[in-house]
Amino acid sequence: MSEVKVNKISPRSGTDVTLGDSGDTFTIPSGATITNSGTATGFGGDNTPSFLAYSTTNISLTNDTYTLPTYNTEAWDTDTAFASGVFTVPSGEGGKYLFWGGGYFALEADATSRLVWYKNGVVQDQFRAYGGRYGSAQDLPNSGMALFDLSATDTMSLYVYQDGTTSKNLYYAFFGGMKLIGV
Amino acid sequence: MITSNGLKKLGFTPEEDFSLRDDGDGPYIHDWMSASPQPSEAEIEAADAEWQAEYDAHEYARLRATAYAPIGDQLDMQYHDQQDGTTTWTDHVAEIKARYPK
Repeated sequence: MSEVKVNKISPRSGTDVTLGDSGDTFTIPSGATITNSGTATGFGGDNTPSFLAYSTTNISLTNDTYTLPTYNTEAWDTDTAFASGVFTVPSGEGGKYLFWGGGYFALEADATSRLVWYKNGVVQDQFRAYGGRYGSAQDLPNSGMALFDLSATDTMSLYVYQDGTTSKNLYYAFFGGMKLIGV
Repeated sequence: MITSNGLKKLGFTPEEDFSLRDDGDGPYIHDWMSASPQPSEAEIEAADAEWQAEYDAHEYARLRATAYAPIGDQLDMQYHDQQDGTTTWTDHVAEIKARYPK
């Protein structure tokens, strides 16, 4: 093993400095520090896949029915993994994900709304979000967040529910999610 | 069509006896938890029609309920009617009953 001790490494004019070749490993020993004051790219990954969908039209919700909303707008969908209200984890993208969603529910007096997360078509009760129950008919918001450890091909969807006596509208429905890094 | 109102009319309770889901093609029974046999779609539709007829027949009551002044205001009307010998409260109720007849 040989050791090079220098104070500065600079590229030759008109070139970049490259460290090693594909497959090589450079180890930063415990206790060592790398200080960056410039621009670093490619470290730590990014929060993709990520998507955000929302609806610009009202969605009619049949009472006492868990309904999968149809979102007519996708703000972004980095991996084209979201379609028809369902997010499918792409190949090689398993990991922990954060999802959030909700909307405004036009509720009858004393009615409630629910947000329920489904993983692979199975309800995930630990993240149910309840809203509503007001003495008179009101438009009331309900939103929720959930974290899941997912594998490739797993699906996630958000169902909404209202327990009035007739069909009611859901306004401003939205559903988004992203992969977490570092966990 | 499968409806909660039809199932409720048949005596079943949402989330206790049944759970409905709609994936985009209309409601269906996702879970049947009741110990009683699951009714047919025709039976549910017939019960829903019965429920709808009763619901429609009470449209006047729902309209009246939202048109009446808040209870506090009505009590105030009744107090002033007694003090002043007026009929503000009776007139208010009568006007709404006439606006939304049975």
